[in-house]
Amino acid sequence: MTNADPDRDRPLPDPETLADADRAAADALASGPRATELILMPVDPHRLHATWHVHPDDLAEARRRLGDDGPLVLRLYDATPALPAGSDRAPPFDVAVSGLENRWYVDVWQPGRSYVAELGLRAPRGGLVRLAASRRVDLPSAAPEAAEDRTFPEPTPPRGGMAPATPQPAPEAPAGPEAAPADAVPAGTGGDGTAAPPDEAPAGVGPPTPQEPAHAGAEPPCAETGPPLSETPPEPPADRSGFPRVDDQVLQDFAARAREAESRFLGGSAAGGEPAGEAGLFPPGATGAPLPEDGGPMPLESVMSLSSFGLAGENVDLEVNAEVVIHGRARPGSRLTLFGQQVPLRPDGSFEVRRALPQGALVLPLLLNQGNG
Amino acid sequence: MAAGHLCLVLHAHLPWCRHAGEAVTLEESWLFEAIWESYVPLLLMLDRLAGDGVPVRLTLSLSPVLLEMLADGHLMGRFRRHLDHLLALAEAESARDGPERAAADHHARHLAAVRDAFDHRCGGDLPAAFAAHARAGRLDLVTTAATHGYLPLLWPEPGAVRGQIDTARRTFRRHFGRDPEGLWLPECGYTPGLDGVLATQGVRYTFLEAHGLLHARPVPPHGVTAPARTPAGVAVLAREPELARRVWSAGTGYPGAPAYREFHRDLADRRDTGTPGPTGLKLWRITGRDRDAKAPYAPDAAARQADADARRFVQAVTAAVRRRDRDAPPVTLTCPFDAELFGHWWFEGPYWLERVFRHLAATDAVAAATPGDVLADAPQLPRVEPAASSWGEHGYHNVWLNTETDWLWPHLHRAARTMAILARDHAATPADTPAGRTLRQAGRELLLAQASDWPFMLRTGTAARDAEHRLGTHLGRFRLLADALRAGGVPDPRHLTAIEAVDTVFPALAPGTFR
Repeated sequence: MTNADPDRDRPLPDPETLADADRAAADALASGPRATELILMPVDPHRLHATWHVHPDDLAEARRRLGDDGPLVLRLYDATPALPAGSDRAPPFDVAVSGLENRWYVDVWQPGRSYVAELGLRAPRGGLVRLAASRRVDLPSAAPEAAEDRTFPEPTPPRGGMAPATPQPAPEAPAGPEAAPADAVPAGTGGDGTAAPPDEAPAGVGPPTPQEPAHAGAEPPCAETGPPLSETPPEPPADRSGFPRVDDQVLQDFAARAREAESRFLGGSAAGGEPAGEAGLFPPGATGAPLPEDGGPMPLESVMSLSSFGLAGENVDLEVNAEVVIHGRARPGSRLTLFGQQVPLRPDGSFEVRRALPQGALVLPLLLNQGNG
Repeated sequence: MAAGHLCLVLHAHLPWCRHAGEAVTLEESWLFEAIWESYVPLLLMLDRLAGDGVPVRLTLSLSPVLLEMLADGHLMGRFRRHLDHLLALAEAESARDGPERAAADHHARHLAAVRDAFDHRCGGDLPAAFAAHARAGRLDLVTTAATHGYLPLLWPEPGAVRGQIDTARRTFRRHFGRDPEGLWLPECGYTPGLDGVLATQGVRYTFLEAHGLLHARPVPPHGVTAPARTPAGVAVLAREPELARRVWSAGTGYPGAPAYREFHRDLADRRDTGTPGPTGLKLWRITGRDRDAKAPYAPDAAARQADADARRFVQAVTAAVRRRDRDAPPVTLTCPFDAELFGHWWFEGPYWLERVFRHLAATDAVAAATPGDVLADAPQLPRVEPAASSWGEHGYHNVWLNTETDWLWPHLHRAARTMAILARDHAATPADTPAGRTLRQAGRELLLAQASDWPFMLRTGTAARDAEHRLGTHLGRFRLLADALRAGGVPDPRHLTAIEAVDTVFPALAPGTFR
């Protein structure tokens, strides 16, 4: 590159034409169908982030299959490829969630674990009508691990010792994080060639592979995964439709143990002791809420009732402060107000407002003006 | 052979800011300030050391998007006008009577030297000037992800990471005529598996935050004081935390000394300069903690402070090297910094760096080195799987994934997935056809949307609305182009031409790598 390079002095576009293009671009960003999907991402050693979008047609199909209106849950599986010596795989657990399009943070106790998740409607006996499945996410370790013997295969040097001049052929789908180049040690195998747990979405669920993401296709993404949970490490799928399969009894046993573990944690006895379970098992507000008769994880309704504050006046034994998060999406360019104040819209039209949650009923005066009055 | 190596690494990056309007945008002002305060002064520092025969081994990462801006005639023309305006302002200030006169005079001389160097020393072509120092063996030029995308959070769509790295390599080659050997991971962000992409692109070494090695599996025997090798064969050097704190610490770091120039007080804070916003002229020194009581800047006192701090730094480096075990390999102390710290945030930083090299030259215990030097001395490295890590607050991904930024990642992942599909479907489409041009421009817009700057600005609240606007603009342009291709057509030719003309970055982009 030199001053003589023809790319150096490219003229700028006509501002009005560019503005016209950007108006069309903003419309494009705000429109278009999107497929059902679930994505997990690591935040830190103790926290992962889930984001999902559920197409309304998929939800309707899931409800039809369930024959009921079960709660929407994230079901998380410990999919750690190589567990530390002497440690057990964390049991699967559910997190009650809400919203066709939402984001959720899940806190876990044990750093350095790997997870896969399903999003679905939970059946009364614990089964799951799956809407989407994630790929595997690996949480970072929080401290040096005990010494261990590890061997790494010798890497193949880059061709010619330097980068290829032309693009390398892309790996065949699925091209997930584990689809590392052929001359690299695949992520998640620890470099020792051991098989990774399932981290692929079943066929028809979400668009985890480079395939057309439009919501179209013969197979609806809903799939009953019951009996859905397993206490044993999930087996690698034999094919792309495979996903951990477990039975309802395991889920019920697990829920009972989790209930016990959680009560120990919240009572303080677990502090400094053995982590008895995953901190993100249920929202803390679920403590003491009645359990469903079938022993399954807490329903969402039991969480909401404890959103309050100031339970004990000046002699505070417990004070709970809560916020309500109002989030959604409107057409970009609209004017949205809440309590008379304008709510800023992001470029995609999404918005999020946090307000303290008062006691008693809460009315949200949310007004949308689309510019035509 | 010295008992220790000091790897000083500077990483330079700013977001793309070419635009069609007349007014200087916020991002543009960042670029202009970085050029006159950091990049040109660093270049002049290298010139002085070379002229005096002082041995210099410095690693410099120039982000691909920054390289493109520094080579853009339109932007550099605007920079020259900005510099002229600033110089005129400084000269006017130096003609005024008052306690700040000496500081104004110093700035006027500094700006004149920068303009002379920019125009005559390097002919307006900063990348070429840095390349000359690299050819002379003083500088080790490395690259980073194309638009500084935060790779651990792009990793759910590996095509996005491949696109960032491959475009970086091609851009480096376009500017310097060869492939890079080293790569700076944006924000030192690492997650297991990334090394495979780097290895495929021919990257020999990269850099990690300290716990990337200290939490590695297994922990390497010499911690952060020696490089290690990843499963895919990439050498990794980790930041030495104690030395880093001497410079980076907001509370006790060198840049907080009272004699140094105060970054947070601009001439516009004291009088109406006729220019909206900060001028970039800062004529006071830190003085103390009182935000209102700032004494005029005294250049000579600041220079003495920089020399003393450089001597203390070299003493600390020497002491760290002498603490090594007798049977340990030569100690490697890796000290990476943002290049813009030197000059922009810490005005005396380039002079401090120059004094560090001069003091290093006077000791036998430690030698300045590049990663290439270190690896040549240590062909057998321990093999480890580095831990996921970053140099952001808390050491992981929290700065880029939080309640202020989590909404943007699904958009980036969906766009990357769409780009992968389009790249596959249009693998045989000639680049010079409307469809080929549309695909390449879609790749550019995707890369620009992936810049780590936007979530960082959203997190810190620094011009958050501006970050949202930029993100929305590039994502929208991507969607406009991608939707047209997915529908089997091409966008309005006027729209395509206009977008191509404003976002001219990465002419060497290869869409196939996004698959």
